[in-house]
Amino acid sequence: MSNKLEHNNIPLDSVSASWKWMGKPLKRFEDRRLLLGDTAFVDDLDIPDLLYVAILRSPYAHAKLLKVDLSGALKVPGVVTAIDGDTAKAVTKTIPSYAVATLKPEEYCLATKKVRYVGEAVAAVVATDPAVAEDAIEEIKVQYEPLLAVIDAEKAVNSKSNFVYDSFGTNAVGHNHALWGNVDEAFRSADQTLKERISVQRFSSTPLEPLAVIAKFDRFTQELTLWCNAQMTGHVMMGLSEMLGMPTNKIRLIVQDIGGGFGIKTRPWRPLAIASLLAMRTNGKPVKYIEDRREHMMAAGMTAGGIFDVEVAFKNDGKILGFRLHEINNDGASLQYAGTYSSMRATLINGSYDIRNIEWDSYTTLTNECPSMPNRGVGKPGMVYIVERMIEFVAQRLKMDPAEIRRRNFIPANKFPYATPSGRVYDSGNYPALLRKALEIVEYDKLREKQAELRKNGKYIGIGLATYVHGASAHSREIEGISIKIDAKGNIVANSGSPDMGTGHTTTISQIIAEELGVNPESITVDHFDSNFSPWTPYSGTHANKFSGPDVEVTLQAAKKLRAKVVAIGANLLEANPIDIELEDGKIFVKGSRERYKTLAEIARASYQNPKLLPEGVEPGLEETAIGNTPLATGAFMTDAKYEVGSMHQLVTGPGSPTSFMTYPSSAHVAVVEVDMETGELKILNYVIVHDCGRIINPLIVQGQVQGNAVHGIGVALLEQFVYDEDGQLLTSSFVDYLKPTTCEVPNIIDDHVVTPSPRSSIGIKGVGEGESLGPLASLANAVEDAIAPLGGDFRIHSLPITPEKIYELVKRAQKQRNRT
Amino acid sequence: MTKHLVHLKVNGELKEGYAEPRTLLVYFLRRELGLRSPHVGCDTTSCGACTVLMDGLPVKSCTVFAVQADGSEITTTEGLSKNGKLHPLQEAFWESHALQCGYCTPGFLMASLAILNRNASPTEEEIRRNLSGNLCMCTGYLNIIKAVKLASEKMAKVRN
Repeated sequence: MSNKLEHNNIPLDSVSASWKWMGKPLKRFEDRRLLLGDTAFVDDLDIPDLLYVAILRSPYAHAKLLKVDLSGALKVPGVVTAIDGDTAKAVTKTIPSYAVATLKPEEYCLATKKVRYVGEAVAAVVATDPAVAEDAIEEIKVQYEPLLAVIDAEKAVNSKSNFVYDSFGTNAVGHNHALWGNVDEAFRSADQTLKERISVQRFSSTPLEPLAVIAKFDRFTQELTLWCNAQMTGHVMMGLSEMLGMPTNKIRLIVQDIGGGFGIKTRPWRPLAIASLLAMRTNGKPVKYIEDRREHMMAAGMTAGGIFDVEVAFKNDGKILGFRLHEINNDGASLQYAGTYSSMRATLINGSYDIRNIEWDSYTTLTNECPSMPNRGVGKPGMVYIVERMIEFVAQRLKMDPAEIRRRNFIPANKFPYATPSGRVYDSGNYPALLRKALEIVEYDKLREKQAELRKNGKYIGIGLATYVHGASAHSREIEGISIKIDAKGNIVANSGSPDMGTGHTTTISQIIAEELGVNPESITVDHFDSNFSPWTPYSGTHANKFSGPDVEVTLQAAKKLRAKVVAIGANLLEANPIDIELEDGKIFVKGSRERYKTLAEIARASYQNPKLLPEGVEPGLEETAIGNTPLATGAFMTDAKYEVGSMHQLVTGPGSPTSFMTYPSSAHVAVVEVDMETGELKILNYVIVHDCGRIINPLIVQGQVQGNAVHGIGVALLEQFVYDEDGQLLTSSFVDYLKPTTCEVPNIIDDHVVTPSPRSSIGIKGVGEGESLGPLASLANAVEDAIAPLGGDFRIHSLPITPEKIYELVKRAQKQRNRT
Repeated sequence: MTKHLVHLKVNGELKEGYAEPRTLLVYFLRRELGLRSPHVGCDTTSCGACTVLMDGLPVKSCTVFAVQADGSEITTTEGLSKNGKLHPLQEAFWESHALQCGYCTPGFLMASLAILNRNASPTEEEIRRNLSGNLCMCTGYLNIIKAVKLASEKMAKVRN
């Protein structure tokens, strides 16, 4: 443990020896403003003449929409205008589907003909006061004819009637099937097989700031301006332009502070389109819509639920030969993101293990529940959960140590780059080293002895492992843009296509630019996203751990180009050879003589004001834009994927699936828990994470991501679940029913690193925004089963969250069976 | 709806404005008085993003009517810094990386200040218990707990 920087267990090999600003745990530059309360969240913005939007939402999960009568609302004093689904249908196109191509989307931003989930937007009102707008939606008269709600995903897959969309003639809107290796042979040659059904619930990272938008439409220029908290600026520009039938140059999208996103804010189609339509009916006055918490829980989007039947073939020595996985995904009532939870699973199908024979059969079904949205890792938490539970089941059956069975199945450290059975190529990793380090930190052997000792005294502790690969830095085809300029006074300003949502973009971008330009990173300004100024592409945005991929690459590219120009001009002014020029402290020196220098401001002055001072072939101005992907990631491309690709996906990337990641970070989690056999209460005694995210630009920010991620994963494992009753009513629409971890539940987390720099990143980094939220689902389930193992029998956690009630029932059943035998 | 004149002392300054009987304190502070720091995250008194001090005690300002607060003294995050100099609590949050998106931060700052006002050197257990009414979706809380401990040390140094 000696090879560490002092502050937080960052090993020295996580930084490159040549870095001055990168690799440092700098305090974030954006924090001062946030700490002072000088925030620019949508609801904070000073925009004059605001009008306020309220949305009427469906109380039914599934019903025919017979009539919407807005007249009552329009009579309320203070109401300016109101719209319903007929208006939306007349002037907009449908909400695009992302992954499903075989079916034509039918949904508009407001319901037409049918409502399909509780909380679906039916009509919207604009008034001079937010309370008046709320009063007015109560005066809208709607006639519904309730239909039977489709809630059970398993029944929905095979149902021959009662469809969420009648014209589809099915609820099973997606199906992926693949056979990799020789699965039948694997099962024939196995010593044993086992079969289990496990599931993941529907959940969400629930950003604390709900969806929010201000829309303003200029009747004369026909320009629409949107201030909103959308994460995926590129998708919003492309999708909204399609839906509204407006050219992108007439839509100005401004994204300032975002109060957390986690994927849920990537595609806020409905609120954006509703606000836009209303803004076109208010004589130029801007309209503001701020979702409330209940609306957010009902309608903003959540994960897809999953039911997984897994059948494993293995040898008595613990070697897993292959498995069959049958999935049913519940994507709720919309095609907008349906199918993506399923297809993402194939990217990590074998996890960190060298398992080559896999059959994958995955259905996506629609139900009368809230539509799915991406959430931290999308289909990855489910896939990690499946593989890390499966390996545990095999270990339990063989009475083998869970660490040992992992060691026997890991992809060896010398096998990278590693092509997975599903055709992805893992970049780098050392999974045995991750596990080794994690076990050292918890003192695994001693802990096992202690566990045995405690059991004798009626205390039951359990140790649960999860050792897995994440998949990060976005898909290898995703392209981002950034512009960096040194203005005429020498100020450095960067403008990226991807917005900061608490993710530390401002600081990290500044550290990268500072490294190239030899300035103090604090002197750099990173502007918020504005489509009129920020270079954006259809995939621009903050999602899929993308920052560590194309964002960092284009920042480096633009900064290097700018550096080259500064050096050329500086060398000319100093009458020196460009090779001898060094940049430091905002000055350009001739190597070896610190007295001979020019400041960046002087270079800028020459560049913008005196063409005569420029060397031959150097254009005036100091501004560079880079738009690009991750050139070193070509090896990660999937060329023969067989996924359905929906209209949105085609719109932004063209046909073919790019679901292969640029970097593959990895983690080993060890959870140590104590189970109270009398009450079912679970206490996390220790939680250790050793992860490999390659080199690190800012260790402080990385550790923040690790902790926040892990705690969300712990919430999913133990607390969080959207619950629908059989009529499709959401029973968990507030934080009173939908439980989040608080300061009282979170364990202290020990984090440490193994570093295998990614060969696909110019600076050897990997992504960090999602990974640690994937592990706790399995590590905690494994730990609970380990704790109650002495009771004997085959008693397993089949569903999440692992509530005290579930543990209690498991313990009681096990005790009952033991008493019988 | 009839409006009532509400007087408050906000961060040391006398302020007044009109509020309907149904207007919540958080909306009065934000919309009438132009403060930005108290945020709304839940509507059910669960998340604490709207926490302010009312006569020295932490309240969730989404669960107090503006008219109820009439005549009281309110402290918000805007009142923590003096002439651009951060309060030790703000410094501690910054150094500990106790914030990511910053939406919950003003509420955590005020709830933390209330803890430190009551007990200058709280235990970890005390900090955890007293912050459990505030939700943060980004940080996982560990750095917030660390920040409050650090703030207590910093404030002790200032006092000595």
